[in-house]
Amino acid sequence: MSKTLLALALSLSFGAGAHAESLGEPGRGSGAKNPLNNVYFGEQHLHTVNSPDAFAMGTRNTPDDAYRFCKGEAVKKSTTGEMVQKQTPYDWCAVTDHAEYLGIMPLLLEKDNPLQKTEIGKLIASGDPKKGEQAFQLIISSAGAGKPISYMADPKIMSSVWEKQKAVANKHNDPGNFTTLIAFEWTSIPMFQNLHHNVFFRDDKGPEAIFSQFDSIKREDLWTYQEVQRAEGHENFSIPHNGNVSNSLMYAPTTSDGTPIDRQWAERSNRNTPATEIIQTKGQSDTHPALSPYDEFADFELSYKHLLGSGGVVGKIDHSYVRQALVDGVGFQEMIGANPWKLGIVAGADSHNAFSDNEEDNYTGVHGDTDKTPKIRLTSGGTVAGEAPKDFGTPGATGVWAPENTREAIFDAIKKKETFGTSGPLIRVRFFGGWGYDPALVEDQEFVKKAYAGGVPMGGDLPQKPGAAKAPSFAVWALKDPKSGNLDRIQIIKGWSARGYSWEKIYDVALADGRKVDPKTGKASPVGNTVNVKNASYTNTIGDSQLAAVWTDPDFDPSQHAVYYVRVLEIPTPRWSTYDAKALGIDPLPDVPTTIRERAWSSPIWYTPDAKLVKKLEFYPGLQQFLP
Amino acid sequence: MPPSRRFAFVREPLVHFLVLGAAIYGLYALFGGPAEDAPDHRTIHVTAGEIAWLEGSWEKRWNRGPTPVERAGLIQEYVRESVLYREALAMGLDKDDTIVRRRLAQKLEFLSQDLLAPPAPDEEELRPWFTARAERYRAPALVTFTHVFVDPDRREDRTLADAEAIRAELQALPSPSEGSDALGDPFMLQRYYPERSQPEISKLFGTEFAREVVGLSPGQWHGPVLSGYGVHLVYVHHREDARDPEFAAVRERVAQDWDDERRQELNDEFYAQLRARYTVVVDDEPSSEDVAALEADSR
Repeated sequence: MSKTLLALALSLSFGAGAHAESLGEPGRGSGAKNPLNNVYFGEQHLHTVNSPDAFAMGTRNTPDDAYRFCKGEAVKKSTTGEMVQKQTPYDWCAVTDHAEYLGIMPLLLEKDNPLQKTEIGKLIASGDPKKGEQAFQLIISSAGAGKPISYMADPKIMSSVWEKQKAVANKHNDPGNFTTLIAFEWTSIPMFQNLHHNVFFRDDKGPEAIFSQFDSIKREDLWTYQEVQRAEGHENFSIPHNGNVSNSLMYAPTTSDGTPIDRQWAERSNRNTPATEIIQTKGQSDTHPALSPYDEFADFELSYKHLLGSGGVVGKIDHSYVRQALVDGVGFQEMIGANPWKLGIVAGADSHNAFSDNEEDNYTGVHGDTDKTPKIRLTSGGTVAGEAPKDFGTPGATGVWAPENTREAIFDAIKKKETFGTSGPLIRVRFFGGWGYDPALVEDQEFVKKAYAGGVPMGGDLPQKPGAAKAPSFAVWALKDPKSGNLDRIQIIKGWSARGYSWEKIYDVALADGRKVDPKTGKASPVGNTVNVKNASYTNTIGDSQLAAVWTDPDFDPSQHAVYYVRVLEIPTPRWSTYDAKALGIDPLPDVPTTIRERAWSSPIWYTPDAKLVKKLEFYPGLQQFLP
Repeated sequence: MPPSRRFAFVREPLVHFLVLGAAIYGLYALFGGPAEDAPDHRTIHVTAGEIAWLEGSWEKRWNRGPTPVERAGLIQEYVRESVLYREALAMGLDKDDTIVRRRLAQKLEFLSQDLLAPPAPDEEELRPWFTARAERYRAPALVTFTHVFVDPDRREDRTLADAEAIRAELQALPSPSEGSDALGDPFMLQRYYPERSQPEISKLFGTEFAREVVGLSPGQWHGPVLSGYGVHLVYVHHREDARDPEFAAVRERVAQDWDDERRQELNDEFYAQLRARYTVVVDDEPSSEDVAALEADSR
């Protein structure tokens, strides 16, 4: 469309727009919700001083510091004494310290605890603060005399750190302004294969007991724990991370016992684990060039590759990445009648210094003393669990579409997968699927309202295909982070199951700067590159602020199970290591990329054919793989 | 059999561990460990209290007590942990281990924090504390505005000229709320934002735009105002100045902050009292200027 025609189209389509207020962003304190949802950016994976590994790395910043940093306050970083602060504050945050040492200190104040009969126990249990001071003096004098109080060595005297985690989360939960979620990390890692999951709760009370790898390293047991807690009124879900270093374990087609997964297993997976982390400081888990050889943007933040604590073993790729899981998932839907990997998309930090450090040009390291200054990050030669700081990326960010910023609304939105993840920038992504979106929607002031009315948002299932419909259409809209690079393109990634195998294809559906896909090659020309590596700078003279499209699947087969998700790419910008090199006045490191293609990934939309249309196979060769 | 296979067991980590463990144990026995363990060191007594604790932990997690088989498993695991723990202590593995040192230090910190719950402040304490820090509780200035986006990616060189023309059209409208929707280009964010603070506007549109909008006079169209997205025309409906809060409205927050500060003081006091018991000698002492700088920084 020429610019003149475009302008004409605009003037025609805008006339009937309702008053902007009706789009529903209500005034402060009105208590009203936005039925079309607002985006809330936040953090769902963070460690503080209360994670023993973080503590051992020298981190002293607390959960309180973590929440204050997310809110945008300047906080003193314990390892360097410098003040650190986000350029753009977050709307919500969850601290997920490792469960392994949070739960082992039961409350002194528990009924019938024999320690209540001890001198200090009585003083504390009285609840009288003055007596607390007496107990405090007693400890001081004991320490001074070099004489242990025998019962002090008992861990039972200490109140549970978990109770404190909950209290701090609740202290910072401010409905309407800032949300926190009560959460912990289950750190299961059988034979160095990462199976970590974070567990999140909807209620303010949270469970009494948390679940650690000491209880079990099997995810089926984690699900049982989740189901028990749910029945007790602690609604919850878990989110796994770092499939990329799981050595084929994370999305394996087998249970923990090595038997093929069945329908019941898939349904339990679905019920307990609605989303997965696609990127964080230990690399991205979207896909790998070996799995997606035709994806020209697959080679991205793959420098981190060793299995945690393995002493340098590079993990296997198969069944370790989200895209393969999503595509295999629709194959399972066809084969066993349930999809074990019906996953929404989020992103996270996994920082071990309490700071959700997603801004590429404002990165101050993530692992305590081991990467706290530009000099240490680029030149120390040190490692964290065998990986050099240069191979870590900046944390990712999660966008949640929710009617309001409350604990319940954020939790529910993640549970129904109306979420997206980014490699850090706060790119906004809308994605809807239906059976008849009008291409003129992209010029419509009521895009969002009509898109909701005509289909389902990201994370949903396409409605039943109307008889007359030939193929589904998708409405997608992306807006750049005003403090980051322009957008290059929007892509829709389609996966489907055919002849017992999984397939994927990538479509460029919106391109900046008026580019078109070359029908001969099927590719678009590159957006260009304005990065000046020496100055660690770029200009937004290429790319667009926002991109939108209505796209109809040209290869649709109504008998094939399919999954669709969006990837939005920014123009090239400097990687954090390039900013550090400039700060130090040295050349960027030769063995990591100098630029980064920041990006966002939406949660998928699924298509499940009417059973009448599907001819089930005897054998699904693409799914019958066992752990080697 | 090739030689590399014959000695494959030498590369097994378990073999390394056992050899290393035996060596450490042997050294310990040679230089200073007790010649023979006292008999009670060879007894692991799992008390009824400990079993009750194991069962209680289980019940909290699974919402039921362990079956007899599960109970046996819990006890067996507890015994195993105790055996390894005793042996590790006997080998001196707790000495000079950074993680053990830090863990113990952390435990004492947790413990002292538990004890140091300051009493809830009364009104007479809290009010002057609040007054001295009123700035912290100031409600920010709030702006209610409508904006119209003019997209440079669509309009290219014509963008600023078009923006001027659109502003003239906007000014001719009878009211900013009626008809402004029909002008400008599609944009993902809302057109109308009620009662937003500068930081909130900055989150949505970027720092520069926010700074400019909070300074605009109400009742007329302004612009072009630039953002990280492009060009905007902005109408400010209403501006509410920053104001000092009523004490009653923020009392809960003030009490919380007071509590945080008091806890911090008590923690510092606790450490100071412990620290006073030690004479500290540091080889290669840092200069007094460096220490002064560190202290100034931490204040």
